Amino acid sequence: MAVIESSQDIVQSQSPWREAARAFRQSWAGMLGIFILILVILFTFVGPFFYPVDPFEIIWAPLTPPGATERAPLGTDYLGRDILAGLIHGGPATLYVGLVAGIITITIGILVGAFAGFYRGMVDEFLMRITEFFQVLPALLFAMVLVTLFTPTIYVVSLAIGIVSWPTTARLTRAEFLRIRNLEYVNAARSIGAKNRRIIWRVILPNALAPLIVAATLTVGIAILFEAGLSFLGLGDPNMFSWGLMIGAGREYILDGWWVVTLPGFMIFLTVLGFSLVGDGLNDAFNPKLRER
Amino acid sequence: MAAILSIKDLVVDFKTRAGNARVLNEISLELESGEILGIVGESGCGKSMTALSIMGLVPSPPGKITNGSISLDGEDLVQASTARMRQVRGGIISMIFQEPMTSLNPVFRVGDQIAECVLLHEDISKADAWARAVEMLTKVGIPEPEIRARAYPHELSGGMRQRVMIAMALSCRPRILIADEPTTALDVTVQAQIFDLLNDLQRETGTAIIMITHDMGAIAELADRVAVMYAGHIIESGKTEDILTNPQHPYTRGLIACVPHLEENPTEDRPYLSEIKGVVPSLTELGKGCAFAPRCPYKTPICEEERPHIEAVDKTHSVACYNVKYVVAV
Amino acid sequence: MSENTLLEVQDLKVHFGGKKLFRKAQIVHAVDGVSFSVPKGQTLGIVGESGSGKTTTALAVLRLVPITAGTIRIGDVEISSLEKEDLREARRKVQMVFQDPYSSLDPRRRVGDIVREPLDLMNIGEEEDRDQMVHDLFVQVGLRPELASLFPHQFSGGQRQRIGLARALATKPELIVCDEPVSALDVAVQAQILNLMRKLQEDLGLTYLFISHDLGVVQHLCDHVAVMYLGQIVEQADRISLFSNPQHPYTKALLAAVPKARPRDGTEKRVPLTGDPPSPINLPTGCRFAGRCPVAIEKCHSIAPALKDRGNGHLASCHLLD
Repeated sequence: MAVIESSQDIVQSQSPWREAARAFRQSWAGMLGIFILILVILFTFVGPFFYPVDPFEIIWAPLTPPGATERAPLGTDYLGRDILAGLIHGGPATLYVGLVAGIITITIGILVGAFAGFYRGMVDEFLMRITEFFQVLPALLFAMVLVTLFTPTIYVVSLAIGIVSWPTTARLTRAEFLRIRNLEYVNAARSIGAKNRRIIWRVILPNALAPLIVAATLTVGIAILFEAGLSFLGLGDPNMFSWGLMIGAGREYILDGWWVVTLPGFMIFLTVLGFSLVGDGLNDAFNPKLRER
Repeated sequence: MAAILSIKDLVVDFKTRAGNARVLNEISLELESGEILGIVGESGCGKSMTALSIMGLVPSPPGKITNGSISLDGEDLVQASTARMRQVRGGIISMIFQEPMTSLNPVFRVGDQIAECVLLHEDISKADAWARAVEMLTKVGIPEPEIRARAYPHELSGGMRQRVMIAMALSCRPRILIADEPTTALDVTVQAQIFDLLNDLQRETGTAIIMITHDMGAIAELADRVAVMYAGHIIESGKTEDILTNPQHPYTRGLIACVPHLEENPTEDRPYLSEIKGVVPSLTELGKGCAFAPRCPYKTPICEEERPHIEAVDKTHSVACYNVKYVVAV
Repeated sequence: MSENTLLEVQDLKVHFGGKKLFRKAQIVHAVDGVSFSVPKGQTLGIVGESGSGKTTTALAVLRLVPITAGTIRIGDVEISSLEKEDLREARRKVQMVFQDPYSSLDPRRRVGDIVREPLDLMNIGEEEDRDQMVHDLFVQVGLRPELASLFPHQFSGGQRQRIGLARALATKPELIVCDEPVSALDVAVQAQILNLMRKLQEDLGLTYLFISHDLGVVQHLCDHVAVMYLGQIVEQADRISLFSNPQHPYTKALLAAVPKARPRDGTEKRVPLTGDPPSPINLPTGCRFAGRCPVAIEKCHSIAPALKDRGNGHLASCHLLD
């Protein structure tokens, strides 16, 4: 990294965020991930305009294999519904659950982790015991209980996934806060009269954000998998078409028609892979050791 | 005495985003057996890279030895195979580092780490290796060596750890020991102990030592000869007394003058420290002239045109500066 | 407290740790009964090895670590008894320069904002004048003001330390606590920063509390020197008296251990100081230095010596001087 010389040349400022963005653009994995995610998003959001078929409508004989009829290019499911229409219309719900669950995870995780790591002592003890409580609960079972107790709407599913996945983020945030709070610029901020609130949100958090952003990206992928798992067990929102729901509904016919579960499974795989690759790319971008000297 | 290690015109380049950085620029050095050679300079001057080059540990990529030779008793280490370098490292040339905590593996007992090092290079039994470890710990002045050999690194103080590092480095009776800032992380009283230890060991074993440091004080304590580095070049070399009392290069003079030395009888009069103006140049932007020219108070037009070669001013003292006579006269 | 004393520390104690469940109480006596005062416009150096408590003392003066006992007075404000908003206000008068120029600046803020932040937080000057004030601060520490929009990683160590100084000067403090401000810098840069600090002291009448392990630097910069060992001051005197006539065996050993940048002539004899400083957790009874002291007598191991005036305000704590 260039160090300013005493010469008079005008120097461009290099924001650490912009540096990271530049490194991300050079990261092979990250760019591939972005490309995959853009494809998935285009497919599910622009698709309906080009392929206006209702995924709930029965259009052909049940369990027609892909390529057998022009009416259903990717075949039909056990009720005779169009798989391609299902894939297109199942996307938004899946992505929605992933994003909302991810946001809930990150929000609770950062709040709990930040307070625990910053205040330490009793606050830390208390918050970490709660975190451990949630961490030792078997995540899938607990989410299933939550979903069965309430009506299985898309919101409840997102919330349930968020509630069972925040402890990891909280621990990560806490560890970052514990590390950064001992750095001298935090003491420096305090000695120029910054209040705790400012130190937490304006000084420590921006510097702790890099690993959290990586974690958040991966969390979205994991939440999508989680949703698929719940739907597979029949606990998804039955009124919202999602990839998970397609798998769940078709699981009994896997031997009669592989395409019924494989195709939505492939979409989930692609999306999760996209998020993972983006997470990988971000990790490279934020990790200065991997950047050239 | 004969030189056991001689470096000739060594060039190491690093590829960086800003361009090619020549971190070592045609440096030549000779190490005679049984002497302590100091290499002194500021961070980024190439002193540590010199050590890594000798050890065959230049990080590659981005680094690469692009020219020159490092000959150990006539064998060129630059050309040596990886397998051969493994034998050389630890067996013939060993190294100790600045940070004794991170250079020891925290999950193994220190005795085992020393024994392991011996087993790698010599065909002896485990029991003998352990005995050697204890013997080495005794030699570096660790009290109760049998007990300390069973200790883990975190159970030892910083000074002890550095002694362990020295014991490990000397366990295979190397001919050359490279010490990279061995006392920088230590307190002064402990630092003095380590200096004494290195001095004693050197006298006892005859191991040649290359001591890399930024501290002229450490050089004065230990080194027989000194090479001063600046921006990848050796700009002055000679006997320690000569360099300290009669430095020729303007940079060496500045380096000695800018440190507030401890006086035994300080006076009320406290002049400002003399400064070397400006900053160390970026290695990617070195011009064709002398690297020190932009900061040099004595520079003449030729200094910016052509890089001065290192030339002898007397039998043991060499300087890379066009204006030596002028500087001496001032 | 005399007229021109700016900082006065009385019997300061900072202990860390305490009883834990299932574990014996382990109390670290980082600072254990330290008293000193610094006259306005002068510099007090605190020297000592790692674990001597010198950095903790510095942090305690700014109330950046909890104080166990003792009082700290800056001017006529007793800073040790202030809380919350009063403490925040009082910190305007005392600022700190940190050791590590790489970790003392927030890497995600522009350096101009870093220097401006104290002005905003402490409400200094009119809002529209603050840019000019930042500009002036940059000039004062010898940086080009155009560089204000850059980020810390674009500067060298010495320049970062200048930025740290500019930030500290922003609140127009009377006292600046410097915790090893030059020990992470290359020697040539170190000289530049030391000269800058002296210049600023002359121009602004600053008072420094200067923490360092480097006796050469302390001798160069400080008017008074206190030597700390395991949380206590063992010797304290004005600069000339301390260096030319050290009293305490520890001070003598410390001075002898410093490598001299001149050729060895073989006549120098070091006071052999063996071992490392003991840990501040299990403190020895008696004199804390007794275990390493080359001239310790029996009494040293049982009774702690008092810090007494040995003439002309030269304080030292050693039984052999009584």
